[in-house]
Amino acid sequence: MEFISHLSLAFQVALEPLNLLLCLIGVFIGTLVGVLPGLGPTATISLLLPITFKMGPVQAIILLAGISYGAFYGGSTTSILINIPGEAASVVTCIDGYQMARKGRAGPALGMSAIGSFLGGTFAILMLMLLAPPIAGAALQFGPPEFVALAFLGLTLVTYLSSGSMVKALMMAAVGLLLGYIGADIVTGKERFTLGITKLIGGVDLVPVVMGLFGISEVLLNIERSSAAREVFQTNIKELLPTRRDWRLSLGAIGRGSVLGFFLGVIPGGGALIASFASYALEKRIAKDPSQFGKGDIRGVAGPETANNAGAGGAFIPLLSIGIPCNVLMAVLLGGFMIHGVIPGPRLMEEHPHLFWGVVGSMYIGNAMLLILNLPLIGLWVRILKVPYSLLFPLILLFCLIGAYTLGNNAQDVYLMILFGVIGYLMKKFQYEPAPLILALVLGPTLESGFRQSLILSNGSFLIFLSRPISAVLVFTAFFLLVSPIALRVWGKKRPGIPVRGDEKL
Amino acid sequence: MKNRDLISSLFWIGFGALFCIGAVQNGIMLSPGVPGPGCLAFIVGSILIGLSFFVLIPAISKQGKAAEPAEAFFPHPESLRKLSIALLALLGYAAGVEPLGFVTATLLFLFFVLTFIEPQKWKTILVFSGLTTFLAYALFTALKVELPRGFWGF
Repeated sequence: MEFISHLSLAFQVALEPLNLLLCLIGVFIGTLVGVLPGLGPTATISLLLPITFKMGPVQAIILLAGISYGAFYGGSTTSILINIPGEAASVVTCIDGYQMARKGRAGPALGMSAIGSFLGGTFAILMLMLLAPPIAGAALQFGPPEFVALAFLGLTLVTYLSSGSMVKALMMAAVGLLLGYIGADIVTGKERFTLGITKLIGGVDLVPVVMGLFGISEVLLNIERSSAAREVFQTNIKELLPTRRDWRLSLGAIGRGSVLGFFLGVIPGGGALIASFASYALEKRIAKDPSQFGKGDIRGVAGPETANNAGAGGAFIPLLSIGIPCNVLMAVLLGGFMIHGVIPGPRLMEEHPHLFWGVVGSMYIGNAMLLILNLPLIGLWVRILKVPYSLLFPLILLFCLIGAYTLGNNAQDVYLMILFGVIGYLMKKFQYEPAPLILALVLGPTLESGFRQSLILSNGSFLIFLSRPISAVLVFTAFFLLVSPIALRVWGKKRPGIPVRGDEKL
Repeated sequence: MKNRDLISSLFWIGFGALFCIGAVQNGIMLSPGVPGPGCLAFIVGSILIGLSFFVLIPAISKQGKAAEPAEAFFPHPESLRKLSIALLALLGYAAGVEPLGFVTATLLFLFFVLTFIEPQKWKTILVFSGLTTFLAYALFTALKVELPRGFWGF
């Protein structure tokens, strides 16, 4: 009965004309940034934050959430048609999607990708409705030590699951935490590490940092290369509906992708990217004829595309029910909530039921809109793909500049963004990942206040983190993840043949 | 890559050390059992220094050995020129947007970028700069986003 009343409230809010329009705009922009290589949803959300300032929180979050899950639909289009992923979670779709296009089957690849995305996304929203309330209820029992342990585990998982060196990822998490300590101390009000810059008393703003690390740096990396034109695969993409054989092959992959993607989306450090890779690996492993993968097997498109959308939906659970973003995209969305004076967490459903259920309702509708946008409008996206990067990058830079300026109507945020753009460029050159830095910057204040409250509660004893069952389990899990690569390395050296992470992956 | 690891790890050691020094100055403990404003910064700064050694030591130990093939820092002969122009344009926009106003600064920015980074035809530059500036101004004005007016008033 409660489920029905929640569902009713969700659609009541989401179906308001303005919310409906903003949901459409959000998923449209999301698809657009997904289609365009070089601009991801993280940078887009941060640079569009200023346009939401005059909106109410419900409208703003519906728009921003639409961009976040919409991008995963659009990403597959470029993977299939030009063999370049529009966003990271569609990397794996290139393998079989592009091969299908080369064989003249771009239509079914795009069609199955959109249908799988819809089913995976819808499954994740359903699970969000069912699981978020009990998780939020359980999180109400959390005290400062549990929140510290959870944030610690989240950061550890982000570094553990990073694609590059784990040591470098941990270093970036440390840098993010340190940047989070800049500004007035939360307990004493004392200025820390501000170098006398007034702007920094309030802390380092998340948005210019994200715009710099993900927007400006990406443009700098792209323009320094020679301007090779993108070639869109010339093929017949009129027949979008998959054949009966395609359906028979894909249904299992979609089902497995939904469940796997959702659970990988929920865990801190997880999300759409890992979900898509895990789904591809699973499908290949259980296939009777794995040799077909890499040659244009539709299961290699259906599984990962379903999983990345299910993962994108699942990632909303920790943010909305506990207040802990489990990946960098959710961290930026958390910034969006906070700008509008809403703190996501266990009390969100009680204090802002219209916001919580309205966003959930808009996600159902947004998924349906995306199916419509991605199937009949595929011609439009293909045409957009042909816009040369030499005309796109000035637009990206301009939106970053306007976005940073309008945050506080001053040029200091613009300088900060440019600085982080250069830092992000250098980080890529030196092979450091920006995601742990952003997540740590967001979690830093939570971690610090919880840490200090915990130590005050325990009269300075660190054992408080180990004496409470939930926090102890979380801390031990985090330590296990930190130590396991080293242990595996040592064990692997003693027993040749056991695969271990390489030097760079320690 | 080893040279880059050497440089970057030394940078992060310095960065961590600065935070540790700042943390000590801010006070690590307020009183026994009560952490001060510098407590976590000191711990995290120390961790960063420690982790940096895991990157530094392999970089030093492999210094004399045969260099592994790594991608050039600037992948294209034009890279440095393009990057410098882009940064100049960004900094110029940041410095000029308040005195010049949104419209003039945006027009000049687009004009500059389209002329010098990936040079376009004059017609494309003029139409693209003008249209983009107009549409951006109209969009942000419609969204009631306050834009800098400068001495021209727009």
